[in-house]
Amino acid sequence: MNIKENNLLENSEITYFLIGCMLGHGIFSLPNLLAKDAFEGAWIAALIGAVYPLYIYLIAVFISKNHPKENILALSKKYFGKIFGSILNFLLLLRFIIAINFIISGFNNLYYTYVTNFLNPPVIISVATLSVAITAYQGLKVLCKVNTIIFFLSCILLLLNLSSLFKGSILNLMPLTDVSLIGILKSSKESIFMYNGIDAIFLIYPSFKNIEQMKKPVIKSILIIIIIYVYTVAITVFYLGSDIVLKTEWSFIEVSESLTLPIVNNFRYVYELLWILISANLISNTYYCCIITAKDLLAKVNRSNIIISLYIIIILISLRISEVTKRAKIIDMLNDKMNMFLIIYISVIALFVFLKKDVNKA
Amino acid sequence: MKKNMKFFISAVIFIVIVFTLINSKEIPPPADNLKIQVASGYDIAPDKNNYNKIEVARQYVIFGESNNRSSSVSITDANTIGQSRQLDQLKSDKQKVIGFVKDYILSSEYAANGIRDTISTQFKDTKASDTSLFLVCKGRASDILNYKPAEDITAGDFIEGLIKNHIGNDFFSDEYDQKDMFVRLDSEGRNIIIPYVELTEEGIKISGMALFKNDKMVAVADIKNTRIMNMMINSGSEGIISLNKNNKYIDFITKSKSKIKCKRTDGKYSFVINLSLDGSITSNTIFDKPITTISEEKDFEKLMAESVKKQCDEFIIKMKNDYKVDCLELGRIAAAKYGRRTGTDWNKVVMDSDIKINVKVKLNKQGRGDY
Repeated sequence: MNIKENNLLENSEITYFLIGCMLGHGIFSLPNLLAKDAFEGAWIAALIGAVYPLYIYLIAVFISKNHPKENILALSKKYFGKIFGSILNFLLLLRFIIAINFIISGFNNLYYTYVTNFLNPPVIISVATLSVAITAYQGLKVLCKVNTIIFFLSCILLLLNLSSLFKGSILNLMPLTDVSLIGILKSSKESIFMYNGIDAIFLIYPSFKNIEQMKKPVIKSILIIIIIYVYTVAITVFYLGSDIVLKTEWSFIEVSESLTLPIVNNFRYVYELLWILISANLISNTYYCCIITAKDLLAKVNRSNIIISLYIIIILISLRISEVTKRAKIIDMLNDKMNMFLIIYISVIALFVFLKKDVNKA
Repeated sequence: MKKNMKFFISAVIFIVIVFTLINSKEIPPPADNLKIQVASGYDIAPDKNNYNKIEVARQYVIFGESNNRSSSVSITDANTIGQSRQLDQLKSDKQKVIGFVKDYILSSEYAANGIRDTISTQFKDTKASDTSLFLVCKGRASDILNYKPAEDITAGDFIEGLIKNHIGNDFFSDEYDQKDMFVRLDSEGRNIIIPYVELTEEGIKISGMALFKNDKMVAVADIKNTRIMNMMINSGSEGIISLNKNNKYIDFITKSKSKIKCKRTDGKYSFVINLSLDGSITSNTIFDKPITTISEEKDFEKLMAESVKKQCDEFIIKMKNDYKVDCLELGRIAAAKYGRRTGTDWNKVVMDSDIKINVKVKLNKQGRGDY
């Protein structure tokens, strides 16, 4: 009993874990994604995109209040029956696997271009995935401890970019008047991609120590991530201007160059190298979500066997989609559908919870 | 850890190691087998057979045995920049390191022809550091690189020091590096302005600024106009301006601060540049003794402001008639206020606009006295 209680998550750990589920190397291309339609108003788009995590938050609070001991996988089986519920859970697993493949292939593209261009993609992908698989194998508590450290590292790295305030110009963020509302809304839809790590909350809330107080740490993590994204987008456009942001693939990296240190010839390289840890953290969190979902479907299979088979599946898919153009096309194709599925899935479960609650009372 | 997990991890690590060893290239060579590129010069190839279009001069530093340092310049004619890299390696026995280039020197002929391919090559290169300087030179770039300023120093190093240490004089800013080229080219309402150097009998020296329109150099401002131009665009920079009157003069070392306002009435733009200069007198032969009374101070400030305003007005006339390019970044301010992506040619707008200058001079200190 004691061991089990020790493995429950503290409030602060919940915050860091959820931040770790969203923050990764996607932040480097986030300004490009948003400036495509919203131009100078890109940071507003990042702000509006936060509607998605806030919606997830409301649903999660509602469901966990009524079923504090069962996660979404159990609930879907409970309400939809064993077979149909399992199919839905399988779709959820598919969503996590697709998400982790997007992340890993993006990781490969970024680091193959900038840091480890002496290695080839199979080596990068297999080593990176192995290291995150081992982390995810250790369990939720260890992951949370890793996330805590990584959060402070990412804070330091993000704050280093403040040096670009001396070099950019406020003129780059002006005028907001000729940015169309439709453009901003279109861009904020894109930004949902960056927020969709938040759904891990549906899998892990049974392991919260104080489930009654879960509102505070969760909303804290969402607010912090909103601040990080708005800051990132605003400072990148401030430094480069929206014309130049669209010319780069990973515009936020260019901002890290604004810090010129004596001796260090190329600070970008150092920055990238440290950011690997943050990316790996994101991947291991997503990997953990895959493991939980798969374990629920295949209850009889050994956990380490699940990890090994997931490893092979992930590597095979990531290698196939790691080309830049192919990846962009697949993301374009699947992203909206994946988000739509999740929103419908959790909304329907929330609806069932709501209806059943009334029945029980009556 | 479970047994199968352990086995799995060691299996993957083993496969990766084997895979890396099979695929690995040679181990990086020791330092004395490397040549480090310190500068590049771009020029239009002199031969007229229309095959080789670009002449790239590369300056290398080679570390020999027992800390011997020598430098060499290798000149390659090629059709493209990428090919010139290969052709350059044909004549070399050492491996090239390109992350440390200090400056890129574009000959004025090359710059007038367009530098988009150079910038694009630099932008794609993820190894290059963005701190290398860009500048335009008179004559051939290879001549500049072949010049030896001193026994132990290469032209590339020399030029870096030349530009970087001119900050504090002539209102120079520190924004002439590769990053600033990326940020300026194609950014709406901005133009590239980089230093212009030439090889004279005294050695290499800065002789003005090269002004670009899009990716092509269109004019060169001489050092006098450079001073006035920099004073208006580089807010926070320092320099010395002089006031001449009847064979006597005052030197005023000052920090400039400029604020530009833009207004549009009936489709016509008008700009107001508010320039405030505060600083101290470094030498004075006009006034007999230190300025002590308020009225004298006012006199001086008025005199100075008038003189600066006159020079600025002259510069603007020159800009509109001779340079024909917006070198004060006025278009950027107008774009930020009245909207981007409307297809406006800001260079043209600025040429047709009404530019007014207000100068305010403030005297802070006068040194320890007057002799």
